[in-house]
Amino acid sequence: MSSIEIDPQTPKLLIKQGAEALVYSTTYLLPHIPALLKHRPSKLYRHPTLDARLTKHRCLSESRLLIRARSLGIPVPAVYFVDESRGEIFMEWISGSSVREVLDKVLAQEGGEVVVDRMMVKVGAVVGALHAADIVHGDLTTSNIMVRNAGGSELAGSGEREVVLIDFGLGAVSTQDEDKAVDLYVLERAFTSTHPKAENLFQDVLKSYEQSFKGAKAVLRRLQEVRTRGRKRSMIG
Amino acid sequence: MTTTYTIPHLPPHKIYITHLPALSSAAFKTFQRELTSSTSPPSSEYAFLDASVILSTTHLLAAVFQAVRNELVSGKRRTRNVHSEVVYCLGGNNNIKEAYKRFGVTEETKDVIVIKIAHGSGEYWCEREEVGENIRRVIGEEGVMEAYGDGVARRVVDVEKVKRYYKIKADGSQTKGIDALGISALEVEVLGKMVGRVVG
Amino acid sequence: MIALGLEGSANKLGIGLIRHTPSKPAEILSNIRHTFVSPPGEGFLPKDTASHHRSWVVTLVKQSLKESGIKVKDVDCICYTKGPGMGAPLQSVAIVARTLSLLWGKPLVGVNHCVGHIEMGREITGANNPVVLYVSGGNTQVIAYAEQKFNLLFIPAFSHNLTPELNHRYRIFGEALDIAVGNCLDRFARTLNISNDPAPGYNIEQMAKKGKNLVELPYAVKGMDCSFSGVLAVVDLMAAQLLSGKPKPLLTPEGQPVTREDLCFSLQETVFAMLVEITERAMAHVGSEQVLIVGGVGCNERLQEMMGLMARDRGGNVYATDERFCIDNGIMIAHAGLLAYETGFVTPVEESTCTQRFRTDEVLVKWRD
Repeated sequence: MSSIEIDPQTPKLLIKQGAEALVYSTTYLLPHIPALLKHRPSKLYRHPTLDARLTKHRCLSESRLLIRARSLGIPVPAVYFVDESRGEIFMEWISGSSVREVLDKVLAQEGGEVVVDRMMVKVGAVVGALHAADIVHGDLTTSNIMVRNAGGSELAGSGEREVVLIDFGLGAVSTQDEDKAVDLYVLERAFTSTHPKAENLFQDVLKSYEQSFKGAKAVLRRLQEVRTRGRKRSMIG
Repeated sequence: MTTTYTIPHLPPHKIYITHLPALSSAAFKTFQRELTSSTSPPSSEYAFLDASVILSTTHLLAAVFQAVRNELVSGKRRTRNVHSEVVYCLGGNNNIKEAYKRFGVTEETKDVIVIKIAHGSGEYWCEREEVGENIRRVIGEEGVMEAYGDGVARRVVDVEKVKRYYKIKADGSQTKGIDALGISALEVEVLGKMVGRVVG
Repeated sequence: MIALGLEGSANKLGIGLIRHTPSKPAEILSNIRHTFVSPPGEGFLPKDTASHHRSWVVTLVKQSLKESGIKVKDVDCICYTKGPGMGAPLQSVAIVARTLSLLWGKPLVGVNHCVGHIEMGREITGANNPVVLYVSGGNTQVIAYAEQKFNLLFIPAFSHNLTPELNHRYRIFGEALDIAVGNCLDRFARTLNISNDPAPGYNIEQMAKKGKNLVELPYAVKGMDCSFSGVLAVVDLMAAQLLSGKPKPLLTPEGQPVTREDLCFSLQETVFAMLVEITERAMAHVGSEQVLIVGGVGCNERLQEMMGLMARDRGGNVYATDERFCIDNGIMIAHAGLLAYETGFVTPVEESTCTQRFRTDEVLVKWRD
């Protein structure tokens, strides 16, 4: 009787330590399946009952958004496994670079904006699809939009690299134009702060967004308002 | 032939998987009797699955992983033991009976996957040899045991039935055709449905 | 240099005298306060508060000069709270500041109340570049000094108007979207008819120490902002049920009767967890390990303890001051005013207005590099 002994020594490698969650690179089930593990550790400062309630709620809410988005065809990481009581989500490992990294690299070169033109169209369409599904991201920076490496996707063969939205930790379901406009506003600030040339690129994102769903025009009008006031509120002492 | 797996992110355990391509109904009844008898020791606990509704090793291990987490990590097990939990977890909803009907062994089953999960110590632990001997004892010298793997899966799976069970639309969405690293698009969809119960 | 500070933006009237000597810690020459305490179940109204300030201010200024032994001729400038705060009380003190300025021939310096808290907190604790949680009856803000603009660009709350000079400002990372946390606690004290003496928040804190059961209250954090009106509405309803026993007695899920102390405890645990969370988020963004708590609610020992647990987890420290500096006072106005005065800032008497709305990020912080 022969046997195949599979005993993967899979260390998890901490790749990001946010305020709320620890993010590890690891594997799921088998050594050839890379995965991302997002762990919300319990907070000592919180009452244990409150802590358990929040951890569970956030873990489930983030997973639901990802599953909902993916089932609607919006490119987000696939959810593999959720342990809401321990605050763990195992999800698809997206191999690629963030839009921020791509812009930093490409825009440093002369005429580089032409190269990323197609990418901008995709970003606009993907954000539009998300908003059409009444999901808002909550922290839509260029660091939270990934571009898959060729090979991670069947589409890559046609020379099209897929754009993927990541980190839905602050995401929510919302039908409000205001919330969607704030997503775009945050993205715009992220673009314009990257590079002077990126400002024009963002116009391509908006053009593509505008055509992506019925309510887009209303959101763009709202974006005008958000731009003029920032998110500034006056404060009474 | 029995294949041994150890899955990361779980307490110490061993998973033994065996493929029985032609399990006789007499042998299955013996297993079932031992399985359901209240006097049987944990060593006679197994999970029996219909291989025609299992897409791949990944699909299978995802169910095992959930079951072992429920048993050893979160304490959320809903069924008799960790082995019945595997069948339950394959179902992806709260209907235990339906999960057994769909993923368990029935009159029509041709290819059977036998899973044995060893964990902890004492009567909950066992070695691969014991599993092999135990299965051999029931199926007899003429019974066939094979290693289960993606090759076998591809040969025996009824993909349309799997899609139907997990309510995966034929037309698909944009994600259709987008594989994850190491996991096919269809597997990704199935895994998503299996977390559905937890996430709601 | 010596400055006289006058503060009266809410129900405390504070007078302080401070001396700055180059390369030495600031010297507190006098720091006195008189508080307008309203009856239980009532808040302080602008009109009554202003009247309180008017009747006490002369006494307090005289006492301050007397106990410090400082002569009028030694005072370099007169600092007053320009805002934010309640209109009538602010104006009642500003009039005094203008009068003294003209009477004594001293320049005026209008001070942002929040910046006063921050600068005093930094001076007393020695925290050099902390993330600041400013929590009082009127304000809830998470603030950091913006010198590394690349970090801040990704924070929606203030990435809207970046020009080079904006680097020298305190930036508001997160804030309460509706009522301030102190206001939430004070109003709950009124619901329970708790005494306002010495302060409603202090009495809630003492009752919370005896609470055991945590009841479930809304938890409203959105990014780095938070909201307290929903929590207050729910805990108010629970209090009403507890006090009347109608429609049925208020019980925990385990069937234990809920007490007034439990409600105070639950309210504190919930709203403080929200504050610590948004503070931690800001710390992660700017990469700071220090956190400074200022404002009246900052006296709360449970809040300090929770913040300490969070900061230690991040390998950092929490800095807090006691009630002399946490609660509104005149010395912080004198200190922040003198810092600005030393960079050449003065407020001409014809511009020495008050404003109820005055954001922390509107002040150019020239004294920091």
